[in-house]
Amino acid sequence: MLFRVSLLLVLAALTSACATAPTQPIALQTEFWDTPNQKVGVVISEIPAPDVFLPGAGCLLCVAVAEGNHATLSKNVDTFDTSELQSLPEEIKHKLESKGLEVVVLSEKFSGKALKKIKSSDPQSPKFDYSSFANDSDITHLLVVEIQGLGIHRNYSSYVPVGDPQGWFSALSYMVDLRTNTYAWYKPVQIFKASDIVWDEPPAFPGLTNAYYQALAEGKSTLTNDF
Amino acid sequence: MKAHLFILLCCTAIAGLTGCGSQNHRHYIQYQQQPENESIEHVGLVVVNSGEPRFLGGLESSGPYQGAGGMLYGPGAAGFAAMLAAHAITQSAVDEAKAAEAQAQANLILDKYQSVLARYTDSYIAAVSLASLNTIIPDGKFHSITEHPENFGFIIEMSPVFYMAQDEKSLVLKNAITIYKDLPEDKIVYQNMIQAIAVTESSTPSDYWLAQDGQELSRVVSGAIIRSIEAAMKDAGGHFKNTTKAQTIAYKLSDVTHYERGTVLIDDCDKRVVRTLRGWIYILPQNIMCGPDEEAAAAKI
Repeated sequence: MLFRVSLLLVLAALTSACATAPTQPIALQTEFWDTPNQKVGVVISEIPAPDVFLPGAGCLLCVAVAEGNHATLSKNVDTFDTSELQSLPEEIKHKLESKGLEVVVLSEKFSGKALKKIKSSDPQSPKFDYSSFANDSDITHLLVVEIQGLGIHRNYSSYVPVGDPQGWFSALSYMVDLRTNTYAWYKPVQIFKASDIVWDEPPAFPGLTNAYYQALAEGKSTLTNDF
Repeated sequence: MKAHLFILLCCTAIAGLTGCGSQNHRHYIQYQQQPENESIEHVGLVVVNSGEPRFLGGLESSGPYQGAGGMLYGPGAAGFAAMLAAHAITQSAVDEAKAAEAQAQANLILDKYQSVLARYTDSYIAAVSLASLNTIIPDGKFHSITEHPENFGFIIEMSPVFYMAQDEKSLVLKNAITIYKDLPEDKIVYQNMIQAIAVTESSTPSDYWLAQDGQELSRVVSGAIIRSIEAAMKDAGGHFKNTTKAQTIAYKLSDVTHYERGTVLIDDCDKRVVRTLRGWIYILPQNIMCGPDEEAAAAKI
């Protein structure tokens, strides 16, 4: 009995050590705006295709049932547009320039996979080495917008939906000081928007479709309103 | 046999569960328009009394009690099914009670405006609407009726409801409008929800609305009703064409930016008319600098 309890404790300790604490939001310091000779590069990740996300449907059969129940909705989600996000780097550039900063939008698409990983116990420090961006251009700061997911989100508990589907937008935006490889600003964004009246209106799902575009617009606004 | 029964129970439970957590089936005005566009003449106007108040306090959130929340259930399919039924009934009753309480609380914002709003009986709304419509669209086309008489070309039924925001900076009209063709038999030629928004930038909004014995509030209330009827008639007559690409339109309501996906039907100096994905018409306030030509064009609407 004692052996079993000890084993459980060891396992719990091991698994909790594996999980790294998430980076907490970091506000942009007011001194940032007053520091001379700074140039910001803005880069955005590939925008994923909108999809239906059903987290919590944890077994294969649960997933199959949940996806089957949302087949018509999935078909509608395939028609969702993401083009409004393409202008995000330019909008950020415009905002930063209006504050007197020199800004350049990088044409490449950002991917963390291309960067060297850094081991750090500090959850508030970057997990990658971004210095290659400084080598390639004369920027001092890199502002990254990573679009992590968008579409329709509905929570499940195995087979059971635990709420209505909602429009969903998830992104991570941060600014790295390339001279020190530290975050100057860090902002995760999660927007959920419910349908205004009812959601189950196949085939066009106007309420949910509207909620998706509301989430997108609100997400964009949240990403830019710190500047 | 037991295995078959178990599978059957599982399937029934799954089918039931997947419906759980879905929204209440609230009804709303469905956009409906006959394909043939007709000129609407000889109109009888009816203000439908739904028994609901015409003026309400706006709720901070449009869907305050969404989602079924987490559920725990005991063993056994029967217990599980009973739990589902009980959960649905109690959740619905709790939601309704909470919504009614929240609405009653929100309505308190209207107390100071009662002296003005009390004028807006159904017959007063009809009289004000007729006077304005017959001025804007002459030839005495509009007549007030209290029930469906014969020999009217068309009958417009409307049920306007106003929502005053909690910061009193905006007033939103939701007007459910149905247009019938009277002969040869009552036939719906158009049905829609028209929403008109009025805002004030005043830092003391109640002073603004209530100045000169509530003249501004009366002007806005009457104006919103007239604009909604005009918009419905134009839409029914086929004058609104969806020629632009769908876009996400931003508009401010009480210092909060709202977004709506739709197509812009009219983009004028003072207003923007939008068709939402449901087909509803939103008349949004707009304040942009326009030259004399644009102002003249806007005045025609």
